[in-house]
Amino acid sequence: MKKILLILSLIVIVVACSSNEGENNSDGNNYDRTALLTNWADNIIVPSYINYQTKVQTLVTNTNTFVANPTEVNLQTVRTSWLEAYKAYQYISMYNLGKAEEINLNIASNTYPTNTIGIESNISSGTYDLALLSQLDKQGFPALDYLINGLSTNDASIVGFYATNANATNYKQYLTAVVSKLKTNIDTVVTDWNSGFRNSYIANNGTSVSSSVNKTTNLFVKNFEKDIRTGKIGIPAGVFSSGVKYPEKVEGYYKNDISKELLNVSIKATQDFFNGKHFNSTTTGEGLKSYLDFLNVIRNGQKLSDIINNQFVTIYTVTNTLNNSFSQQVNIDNSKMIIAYDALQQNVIYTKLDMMQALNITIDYVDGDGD
Amino acid sequence: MQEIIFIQSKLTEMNFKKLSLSAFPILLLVLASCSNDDTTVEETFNYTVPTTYTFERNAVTSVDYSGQSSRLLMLDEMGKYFSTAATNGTVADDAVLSEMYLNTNNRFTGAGLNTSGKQLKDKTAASKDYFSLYLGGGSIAEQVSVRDLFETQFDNADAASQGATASAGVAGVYLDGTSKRLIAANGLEPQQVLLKGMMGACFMDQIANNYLSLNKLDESTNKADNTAKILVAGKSYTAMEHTWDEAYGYIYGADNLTVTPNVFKFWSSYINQVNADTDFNTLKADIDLAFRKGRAAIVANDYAVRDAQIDVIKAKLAMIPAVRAVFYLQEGKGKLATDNGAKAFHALSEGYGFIMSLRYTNKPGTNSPYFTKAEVDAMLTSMVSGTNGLWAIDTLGAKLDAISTQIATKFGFTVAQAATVN
Repeated sequence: MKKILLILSLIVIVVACSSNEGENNSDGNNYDRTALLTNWADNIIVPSYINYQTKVQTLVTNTNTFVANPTEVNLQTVRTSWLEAYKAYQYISMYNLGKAEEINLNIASNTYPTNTIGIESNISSGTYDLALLSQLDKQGFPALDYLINGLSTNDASIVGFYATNANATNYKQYLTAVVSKLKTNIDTVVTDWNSGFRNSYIANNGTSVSSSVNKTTNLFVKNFEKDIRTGKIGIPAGVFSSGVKYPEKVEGYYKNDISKELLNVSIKATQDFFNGKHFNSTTTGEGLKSYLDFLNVIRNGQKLSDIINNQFVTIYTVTNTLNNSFSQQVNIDNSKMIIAYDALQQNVIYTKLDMMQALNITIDYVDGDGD
Repeated sequence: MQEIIFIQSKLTEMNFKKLSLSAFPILLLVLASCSNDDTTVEETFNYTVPTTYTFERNAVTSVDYSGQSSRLLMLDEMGKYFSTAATNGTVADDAVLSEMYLNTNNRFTGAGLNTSGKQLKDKTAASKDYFSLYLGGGSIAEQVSVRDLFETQFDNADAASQGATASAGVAGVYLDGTSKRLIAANGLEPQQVLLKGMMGACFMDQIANNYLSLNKLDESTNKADNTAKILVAGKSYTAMEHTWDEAYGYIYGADNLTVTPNVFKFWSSYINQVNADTDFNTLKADIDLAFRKGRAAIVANDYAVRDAQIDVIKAKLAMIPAVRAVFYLQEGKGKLATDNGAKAFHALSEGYGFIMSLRYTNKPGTNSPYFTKAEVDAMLTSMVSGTNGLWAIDTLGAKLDAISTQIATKFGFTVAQAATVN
């Protein structure tokens, strides 16, 4: 026992013998991270935010028109602008840092399935504060999905909730409040980026756990793993519930024919970010791809960046076989969802394991798979 | 008996001079595996490996594998559900079995199982290496299909328990001596496919490809935490220690050495049975020692020794289904002439399940199984490829020999060595 206590009091320094040999893959200190962060901030992140802000503004305008004059035509206009904003959101969901992280922009914007009971309760009471943490699952795009697509199976009845329903005033008020909250949130974030955060983000160009490159890359991987692979495919397909399927937990459930479109946009956003592609442009700049290529990261005789991009091609091939409605896909032939999951997971492995290791970035989130 | 592990470490003279030992209440050891320092002073330190799997911290046990024990006991109860239905002539309800597999609706009688929060299904083909990192050819598609295969066994048992007597192409009951067994239309016993198959798809997979995986043991900050002995909140163990214990629990977690005769379940029991054959009579001690030595090494932050034990366990444990599969195939082959072959089906079903298990082995240094999934599937398909599956006894013997040879050759023993326990 004494020996064990002695051993416990030892500090053993393990000297890794490979550190002074050819581990060229793990030393990224010569890479120009300032250029990387500048490209990310100026050509990708902020333009994506601005685009999203514009789409949300259109949604606000069209919602105001609908609320002032609830007709089926005006409802369709709201739906169109809702979908456009929802797609634009897919381009910003991975940047959960700074002000966005502080105000829980992601959770507020896209928690699904939405809490319909809570929404109805808010509407009937007429009193709520969407800024409260307890209200995060009663707002955002999924809440709007319910409000403009899910209140009834036919459009005339949906319009009725805002026109002839005894509680029409409260419905209008809630719809307006949810849309306004989206706008407030993105306005806050854009203002923050434009008033100093952009500079501090780029200046934080080191290699520590809290550096911008480390944080952003972690968010990129986490968004792809948790929000895309798990949320959009894995959970509905029963991957995390011993095969019990959840067709009602798809993204865009009430509209029900957009889950594939939203998925594909989110994958495109992921790939574009990986490649350092400027938002809404064919130009590419510094990105994870160029960082990997700078370090000459090779796996099985092939550039890792090519392996990852090739896997994106595989992913699109697989997701294109899916039904527009993942609810239907889950019910009709879940095996296609599983195949899509496997294709996505393969790129989670390439990015989360191979890429992070090559870039010498520690994963800053853990999987809750304990036992 | 106590085994002592000696660690030779090298401390460079230069570093040694820099260290003022009197200023340090603790000894700093530099464990260097590099050999490019010429001026070294040899230092030795040792730690003891306990004679039983007993580890404590501050006089409290630091060993916990209750979740593993629960799953072993659940599978045990599921097995008994089949035999009870067969013996009593009652229906083996596939819905009940599905609920047991998922642990819903309070289907277990064992203390605490229903409320354990554990289930077998979500740990079936669910290892980090094979079914999250997709090493060894794994995927979620495969996970789904093997879980479905077990669900199919529930359906087959249900069909076999409707009152018919088993015959070629007919699911029913077969009276095997004094035991009644449920047999599917193709001759396979759903109970044995489940029990032995799950020993592979769940227990072996979790041991070899999850808890003894460096991707699991060293994940997140585990290594630094273990080295600094930062404990899991509210527990007496480090995350790495616990991970190792969970591997251990999937083998020994349902054993009871406090009763006579001792109780051994699943892998623990089959390790004993293989070890009873003089051809393989070191396996039990080797596996047992490797678990203790590896655990002691983790406590002592000796990761090289830990890793060596991982290889020992993976290699030796893989021998168990290999030897047992060959044993049962040969036992079954010897009974093919009795009762139109039905007498052989119990052994063949056990063999079938152990072959399934081979897909979840992990050959040290490869992060892949000894046999690929395709190879395992080919063996399984071959067994039931005749008309009405196992009932095609005229052609079955040669197939069983071919599979036996294939397995024995891969693992470096002979069919004869495995076939006779002596």
